[in-house]
Amino acid sequence: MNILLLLFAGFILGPAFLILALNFTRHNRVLRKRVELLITTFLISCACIAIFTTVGIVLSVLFESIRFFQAVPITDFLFGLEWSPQTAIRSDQVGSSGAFGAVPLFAGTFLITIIAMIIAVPLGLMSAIYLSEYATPMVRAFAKPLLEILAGIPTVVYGFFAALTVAPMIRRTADSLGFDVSSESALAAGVVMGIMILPFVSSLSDDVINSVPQAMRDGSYGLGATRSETIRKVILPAALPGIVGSFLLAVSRAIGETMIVVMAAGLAANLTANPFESVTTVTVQIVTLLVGDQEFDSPKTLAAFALGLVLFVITLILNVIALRVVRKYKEQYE
Amino acid sequence: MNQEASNSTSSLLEKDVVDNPDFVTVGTITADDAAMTCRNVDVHYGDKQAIYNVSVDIGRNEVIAMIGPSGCGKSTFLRCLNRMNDTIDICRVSGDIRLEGEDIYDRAMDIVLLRARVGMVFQKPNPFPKSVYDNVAYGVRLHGLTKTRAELDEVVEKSLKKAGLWNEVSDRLDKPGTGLSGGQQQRLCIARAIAISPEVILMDEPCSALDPIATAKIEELIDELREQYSIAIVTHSMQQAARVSQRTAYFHLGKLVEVGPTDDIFTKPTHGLTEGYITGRFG
Amino acid sequence: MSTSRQLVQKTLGKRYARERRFRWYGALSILVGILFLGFLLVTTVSNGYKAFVQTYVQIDVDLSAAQFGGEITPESIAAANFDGIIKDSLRNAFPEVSGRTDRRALYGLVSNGAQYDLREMLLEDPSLAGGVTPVWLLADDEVDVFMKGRIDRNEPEANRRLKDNAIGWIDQWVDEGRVEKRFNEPFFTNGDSREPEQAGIFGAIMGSFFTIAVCMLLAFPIGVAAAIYLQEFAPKNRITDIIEVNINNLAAVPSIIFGLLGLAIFLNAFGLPRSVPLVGGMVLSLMTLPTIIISSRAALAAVPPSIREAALGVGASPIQTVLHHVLPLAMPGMLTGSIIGLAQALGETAPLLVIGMVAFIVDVPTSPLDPGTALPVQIYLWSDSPERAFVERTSAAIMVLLMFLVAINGFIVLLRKKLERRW
Ligand SMILES: Nc1ncnc2c1ncn2[C@@H]1O[C@H](COP(=O)(O)OP(=O)(O)OP(=O)(O)O)[C@@H](O)[C@H]1O
Ligand SMILES: [Mg+2]
Repeated sequence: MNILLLLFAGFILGPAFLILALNFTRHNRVLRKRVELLITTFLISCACIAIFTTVGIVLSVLFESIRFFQAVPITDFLFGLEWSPQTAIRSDQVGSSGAFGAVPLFAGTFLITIIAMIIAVPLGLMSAIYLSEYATPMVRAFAKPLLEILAGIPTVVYGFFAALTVAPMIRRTADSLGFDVSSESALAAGVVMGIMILPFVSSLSDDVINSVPQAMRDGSYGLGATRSETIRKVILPAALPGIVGSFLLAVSRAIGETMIVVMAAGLAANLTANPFESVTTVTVQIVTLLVGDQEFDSPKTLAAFALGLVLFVITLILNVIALRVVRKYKEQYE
Repeated sequence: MNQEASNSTSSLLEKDVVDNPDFVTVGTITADDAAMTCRNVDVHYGDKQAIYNVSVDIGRNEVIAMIGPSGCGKSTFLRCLNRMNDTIDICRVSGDIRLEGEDIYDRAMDIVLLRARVGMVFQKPNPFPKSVYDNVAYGVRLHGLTKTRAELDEVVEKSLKKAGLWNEVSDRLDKPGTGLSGGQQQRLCIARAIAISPEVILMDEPCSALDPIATAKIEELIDELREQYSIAIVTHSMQQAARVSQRTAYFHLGKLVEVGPTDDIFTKPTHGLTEGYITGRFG
Repeated sequence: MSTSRQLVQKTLGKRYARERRFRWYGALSILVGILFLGFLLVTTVSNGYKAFVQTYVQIDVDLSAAQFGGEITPESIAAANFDGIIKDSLRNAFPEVSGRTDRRALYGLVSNGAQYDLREMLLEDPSLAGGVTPVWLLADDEVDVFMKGRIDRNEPEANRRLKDNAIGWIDQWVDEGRVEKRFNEPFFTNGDSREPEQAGIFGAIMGSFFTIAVCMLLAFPIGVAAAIYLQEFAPKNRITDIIEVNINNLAAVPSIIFGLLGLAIFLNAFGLPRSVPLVGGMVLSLMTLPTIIISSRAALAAVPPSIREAALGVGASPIQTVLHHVLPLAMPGMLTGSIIGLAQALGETAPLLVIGMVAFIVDVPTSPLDPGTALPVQIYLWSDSPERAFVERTSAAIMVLLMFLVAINGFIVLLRKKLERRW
């Protein structure tokens, strides 16, 4: 612990010390070379921290998951249909660990993500199109920062809003229409998450749309196409790979989002496709399993790491694909 | 004439054109049978004026070449003719431009219709990232010019044939247009423009990105297209202007210095600036 | 030819209608976003603005010497039973109240934290003691909520926690001018509490402060150093390629995964304590690192090569060139990127939950090693509480958090304006 504090101080005082040393040794070539070597070493080790972080994530999540899979077979986890980690399902079970079938969590995550994307994709894309192709400079100067504010609001705020305002609103509306809606419906969390992701989709799409060369637009206008025809028939098809890439990034964002679902979605692991029912997600369960005083070795805690592993792998795959697609797309018009 | 003398002549002549607000174009600005007429056209980009008081006709079934040093406003002027300048926010056009007697900047003039009647081919080939077939069919479909697939097939084939591309692409109509060679792409863009049967075709340096063989093909094509269309072409190549055009207009710093039959312009130019430019002495 | 013209003309009406519709969809999308933002802000403010005032009631408290064992000294004040004193005074104010339940309801009108306030008051000014003195005391949260008009007295009694008799006493106090709303100082100076009227955000703010301080002290130098190496010195090879891809991917890893990393490595492997801002800051620094590296590299890339060439030309070594000439020019951009990272870290909640900064902690932390929570986590904690008064406080805490973010972003805008350099 003290060693850590020392390391800590090293990172803060180290650079200052090295810069001073460089100043003092500027007239002595040999000494200066040594100081410079030290500085380079420091720079390289800082650059490597990013790598260490990734390695740290992979190792920590992987190791705990392996320990979890020693207690609970991986097939039970990936394909089991029942999730109830708090209650024992058989009397002869050790401790209070119960069923760890994660399918309901995957399904719940999927359902909420889909709802969020149904909101975010059309709205985000259309906002980007409007801002880059239609809006007057005045409107742009006004609307763009407002959307950016939407992106800057902490997710815990969205979560509170979803739970306190949106969910009851949806329930009241549905009640008056004669539907039966859970107060922690997937719909409320999904809708609010969609709005949270909207500016993200919009700014990524904006990037992509603007990288379509002007010549392409000119060609279309020159043939007598209207603006919307040019957008729909030329710009969007041309930008499609890039747009798909941004959607994948948005999906990854939605899957990994935690606070909104923790506060507005439920804990009940229902296996359902009905957006009016309450579902739970991978991130909700990670938080639920880890908050509170638990010994670190219980299957419950370890299950959180197994869920974390799944989350990490899925978002990583989505990100790698998305970043590659977007980069390829941009190179095409370089 | 030595270098110094030519320089002083050029600057004297330039003074006469550039600093003279009442400068009048030399030569005959009218065509025998005009498809488009332009009178007193001024163009501003923001505060900067790019075109000064240009008046000229585009004759029916003839090719008019626009030449002049870089930045003199050839593209700007050409883009006025189908209102492509409308896509540039800061660009303001004034004056009187008529297509078959209709004022194209009039409120009653529909810009979609105008661009369907006045087609444009750009400096760099810009096929859409679609198949060859869809590229040619693009405008036809937009404007609803055909009713059946068979009709559309026919129009595409006819346009590609007219553009001299049919033999080369008939077996790969469903391949992306961006996969063609530069010269083929440019002919594809021409096919795309003529597929909607425009009355006038504007071409802005259509061969500048192409090799001599591709250029020769397009020049041939232009000569054939003249039978049906009126064509205005911007070019940096004097030879090209001489080969394909019947009339030539010489621009200098936003002013139309001289316009007349191509043969006259290249053999006995009236204005000293024109002479200097086509003989390569200055400009 | 004219037929083609007619054909085009025939399609125009439909096409322009489609154009208008499309344009309208675009405007509508933006409007949805903006309206949602407005809705969110308006609800938050209307839910929360009343938390900035707090209800106090004036009670005639019997502070005669007898209550302090006959003699009024700092020691006797410190030892006195103020809970009893306040209860006696309440009984005296409503002598007709009898019976255990009714009495308990009566005592419940005043916050149970009022006794400590009263002791403080007397310790500060012992001259208050000596007789029956009217004193303003913190009211219970139910009284506060009632006074703010959020409890409907026409609702059936069974549905209210504040019963008819209590409302009667409050009405009497109101008639006597003994109820007042004052600026809610406890909200800004207290730590968390189970009693809404005593709960404040100061503990969370200090927790956030230490967390963010640790985060920035780590992430800024490391991020800048990494950016300098990658942008200025790194050879173009597979390894630097991998680092680059890795940083981009790290920027998109869900934040909760960083929490798992902190839990497994910092807490379990290194044995650091749970719930402390130090660990929170370390976790958040790893999370903000990619943001800082990416923006710092962009800032370095924006410095024109001519500056480097000039410095190298007069004999500076590459390291001197970068540290003395390039870095100062890139600094504004790096700072901006880092502050964006800071804003991101300030609003981050999920990883802090995982490393235990979600405990109920009353004491205000005084160092990064004291158990603490953070402002967004406090919001999460309060949002889970059943008391109505906490809804108000949650919204008010959100307002404070957003205020901080607005200030930070305003600062970024200022920084950009002031230091924007065009070469
Ligand atoms: N979009 C624009 N915004 C502002 N000024 C412009 C714009 N386009 C052209 N100009 C200016 O208008 C003048 C004429 O430009 P134009 O492109 O018409 O010249 P050009 O004769 O076509 O030249 P080139 O032969 O190089 O193509 C130039 O001075 C140019 O700087
Ligand atoms: Mg040009």
